[in-house]
Amino acid sequence: MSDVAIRCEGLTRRFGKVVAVDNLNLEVKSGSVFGFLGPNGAGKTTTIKLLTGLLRPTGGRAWIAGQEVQVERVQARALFGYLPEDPVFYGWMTARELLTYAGRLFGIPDRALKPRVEELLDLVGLKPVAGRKVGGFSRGMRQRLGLAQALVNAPPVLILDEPASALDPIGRHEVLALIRRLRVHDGITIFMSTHILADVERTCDTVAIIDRGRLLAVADQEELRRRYAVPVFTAVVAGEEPDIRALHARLESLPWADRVERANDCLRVFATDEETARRQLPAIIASSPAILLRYEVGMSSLEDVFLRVLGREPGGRHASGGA
Amino acid sequence: MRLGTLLKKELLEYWRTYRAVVLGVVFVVFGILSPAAARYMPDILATLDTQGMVIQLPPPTVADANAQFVKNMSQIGAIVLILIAMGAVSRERDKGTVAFTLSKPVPRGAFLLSKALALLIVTWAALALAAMAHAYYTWLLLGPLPLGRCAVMAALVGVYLTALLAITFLGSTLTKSLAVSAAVGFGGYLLISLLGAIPRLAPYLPGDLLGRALAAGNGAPQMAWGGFISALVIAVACWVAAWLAFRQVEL
Repeated sequence: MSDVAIRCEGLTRRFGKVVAVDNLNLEVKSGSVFGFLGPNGAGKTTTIKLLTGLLRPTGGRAWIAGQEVQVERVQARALFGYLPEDPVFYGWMTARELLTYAGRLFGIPDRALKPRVEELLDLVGLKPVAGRKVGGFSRGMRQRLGLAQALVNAPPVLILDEPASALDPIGRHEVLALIRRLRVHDGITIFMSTHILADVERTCDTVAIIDRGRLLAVADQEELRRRYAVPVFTAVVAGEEPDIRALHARLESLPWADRVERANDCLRVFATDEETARRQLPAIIASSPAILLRYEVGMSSLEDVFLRVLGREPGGRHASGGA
Repeated sequence: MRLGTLLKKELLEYWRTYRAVVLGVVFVVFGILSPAAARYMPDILATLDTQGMVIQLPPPTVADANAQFVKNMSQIGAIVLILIAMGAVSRERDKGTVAFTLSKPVPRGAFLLSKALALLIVTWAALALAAMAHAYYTWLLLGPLPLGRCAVMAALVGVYLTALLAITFLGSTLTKSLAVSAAVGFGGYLLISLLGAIPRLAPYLPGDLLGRALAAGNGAPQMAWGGFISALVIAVACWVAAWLAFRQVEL
């Protein structure tokens, strides 16, 4: 396989006047775990449906593992596994039957399919319930079964639409651990859409941020932080409410404070000028009647970066977008 | 190979979800009831209080049983079939399972063909069972009905039902909604029945097959091809239209 697992050129999809995906140009490197990040309604699922050939693009083209994806052509579909956002299966089949059926649709001979199905049931932890009808499965079990069926043909590319969004913390942990394991052991390219930043932080090496159908940024996590993260000064204070409110207002008025967030007694100052902030901030807090209990300097989180790229920082002065 | 896998899954689904069983039982029950109704109707009427009015019925015959059979299959049988066929494609689109199959290397034509074939196999198998039950109970209650005659009668009814199936199948492909699919099926059924009431059109519509079926069952076949050809044309046209429409469907 070439270095590029997924490529989109000018991929566009309109629904009437709404542009769900707008001229998307994207390359996903082979072997990476690619986080496709965006708020609800950003165009993530539409992009995935275009990539999997379930929707027709209004414009542009897409390739998976070098094969062009088209609704009418089935060749490219042999090269990826797909887990939809809300996986629905034939409730009357057992988990083992479903995986066998999926494997046969890929044309895998029965001799090779049988051990593969058992291996996958083991991998996703569904072996004890392999003979149970899928209709009685919980959401978490369906998600794991969805991953197993997406892997049945040992695809070079795995496309996952919000794989952990609807799961409880344990289910999420299991699914994300499985994704990491697949990347390490099998070298599969994983394209994963999500709106949960913690999932991206824990799982993905490269991140693309999409909003209103447009790609705003694409970079590996570290570069994204370097590009968009700003120093954050956290101060936990104690004191009378009017004093804390006055301190909050004072901090907001500082020219180098991009924005100031307050949660109870915790104030977070996002600085545009780290040097000045380092020099001035302790003195400003000390001059306030509020008592400083804790003081920390760090960098903004991926969530802050995400909001900054989207230009949706609450009260942000320098809201920016574009990559 | 994909078609075989898809077809096997479809047939297994008809079996596991009891739709094949329901269809088979309903058809067989009407296969049995047809001669039973013909045989016992005079007895039933005799027990009624007719307030002095005398109802004279000729002795029941095999022809009466055949008439009941054709009527039952073309009315109640048709309704049951429409109810089963309405979800052939739309149920999968509505539930979302269609994406499971079509995101794999499965041509849409194969997907649709497997559904149409499974529906035909289940329908014709149920009809064959019904015909056998009808022949057996007719022989038991009224006298011998040669199997060949019964088979031709059932086959002509089957061609008529195939046209209705294809219309409903088209409706099921065009929409996600089971109600709309059913409306298309029942609309087609109604239209064919209404147009069949026009004497000049009747010989060229699928409804004509029902009279021919009865004649064949009674051992006096009067073959005319109008109904047969129109039923086949409707069926093929609906399946081709379903395929063309399904190629454009986005999931």
